[in-house]
Amino acid sequence: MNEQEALARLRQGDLRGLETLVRSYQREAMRLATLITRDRALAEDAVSDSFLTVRAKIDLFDPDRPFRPWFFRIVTNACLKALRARRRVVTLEDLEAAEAVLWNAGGQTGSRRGPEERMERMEAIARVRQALRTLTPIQRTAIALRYYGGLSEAEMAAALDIPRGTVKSRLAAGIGRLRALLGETEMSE
Amino acid sequence: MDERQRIISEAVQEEARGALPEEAEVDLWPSVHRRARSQDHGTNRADRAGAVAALVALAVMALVVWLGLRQIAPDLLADGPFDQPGFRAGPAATALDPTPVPDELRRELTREYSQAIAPILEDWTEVSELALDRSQPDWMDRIGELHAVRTRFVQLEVHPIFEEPHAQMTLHMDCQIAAQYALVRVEDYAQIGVPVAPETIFDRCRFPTDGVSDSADPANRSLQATEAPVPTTTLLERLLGFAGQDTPEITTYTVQPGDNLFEIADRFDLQPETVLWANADVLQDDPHRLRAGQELRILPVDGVYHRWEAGHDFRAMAAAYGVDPIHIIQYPGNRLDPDSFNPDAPELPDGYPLVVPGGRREMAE
Repeated sequence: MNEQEALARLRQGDLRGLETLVRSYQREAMRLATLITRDRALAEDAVSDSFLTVRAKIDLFDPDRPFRPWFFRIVTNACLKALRARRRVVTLEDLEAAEAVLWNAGGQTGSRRGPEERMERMEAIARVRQALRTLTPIQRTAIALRYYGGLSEAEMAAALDIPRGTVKSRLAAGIGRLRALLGETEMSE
Repeated sequence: MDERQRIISEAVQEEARGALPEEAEVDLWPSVHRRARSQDHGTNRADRAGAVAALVALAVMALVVWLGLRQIAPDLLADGPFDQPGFRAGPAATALDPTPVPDELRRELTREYSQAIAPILEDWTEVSELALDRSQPDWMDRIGELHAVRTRFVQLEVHPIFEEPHAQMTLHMDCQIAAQYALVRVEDYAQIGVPVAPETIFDRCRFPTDGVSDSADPANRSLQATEAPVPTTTLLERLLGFAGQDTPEITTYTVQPGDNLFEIADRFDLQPETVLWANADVLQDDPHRLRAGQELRILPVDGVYHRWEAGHDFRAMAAAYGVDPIHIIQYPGNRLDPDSFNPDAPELPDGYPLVVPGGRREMAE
């Protein structure tokens, strides 16, 4: 059963469709969730909840769009909920802030090849891994979606909810960038 | 992707693999399957007459409470208490926050918070009203919109001091959504294009007594709802308690060198008279008597501070300040019970501090 069939079956209420999705996505989802929660048990609950959410909301899912980003968003929501994060909305600003932290941790590395550079690079990676653990849940989520989930900035932007009336100061900084990414239509909603 | 991004990417991949190595077993299906089945079980039962009756009873209860609230506390339903000028986070909210937030910051946060929620609450009010107009063919869509507004509200970033009232407001929204559903016949549920099963709605609307953990099994949950339902009083108390959080303590402020009365009043969003009148014992109605180090009483709203003297006439006291006694009685900060308080025979201890909101008086010479 491929993904399309699985989704179609699930839409008809057939749990075998869900089983297919669970089996094909659980590992990736667990990794994503563990990156965010840093807790295996929390991650497991969040991912299980997410599959049940998929089932409950399958009618809302647009079959013409890719399942993976939609599902990842459900997973990240479940994780942030489990962490009792104060907000569930990840913005590009969060991503940028997190990247800045990690870049600083990584330090300067050249892209030359050679045993010393390789060593240096491995050390940089280790430092970045260390720094990953210091990020806030929202920042970890941003990084996990981008670098583990491989969502493009456009996909992330599409997943952004910009609730009207969100504290304006926060939006103001990134608004030019968001405008470009989201297009005028969505911003002016 | 530049080198720095590649390094981040590799670090993240390593971290992900470390979290769950290839050889580690993952099999969530049995537990997901079990839970999915037990949800079905709950839903099927819900289709049966008994459970449907319970559902309807709950919906009606929510409606009754809602209508009741509309009577008792229309403001609460109409706009939410936040956009009322006197809003301060109450004791429950403060209790969550172990480190006291300085007044200045608190006011700043309150302002920010009010600004953030105001447009949402406006939309909320507007859509709720539209939804009630059942002559419109698309009224069901309005319920979907209510969900969307609620979602925006929930997703706001909220300072910890507002978490409690924010959560309460969310519950209130859920209650209203449930009330909207209650106006729909059960068989219409299927046609509603919003992603929420009725049981979810009622789940949201449950007001579990504090400390009682939720049963994990949804089937079991609806059973509980049938057998021990209607925590109506709790719900009312909670919502009204929430209204009470508007509450308003009289606070104190120590005069700093260089302060003047107008600045102080401004800082607390009060009229200068309010500050003056509330501190007659210190200032004798004379702004020039203000000295650094004095402790001033700061009322939560504009009005007059009155220390009750036993044996006096409550109505006359109210009249002297130009207000209806009911405004004093209903003012949450006075902690009087509007149901039992009798202005003709006030049982107030001597010296009981009263805030007379909106009250005015002559200046002493």
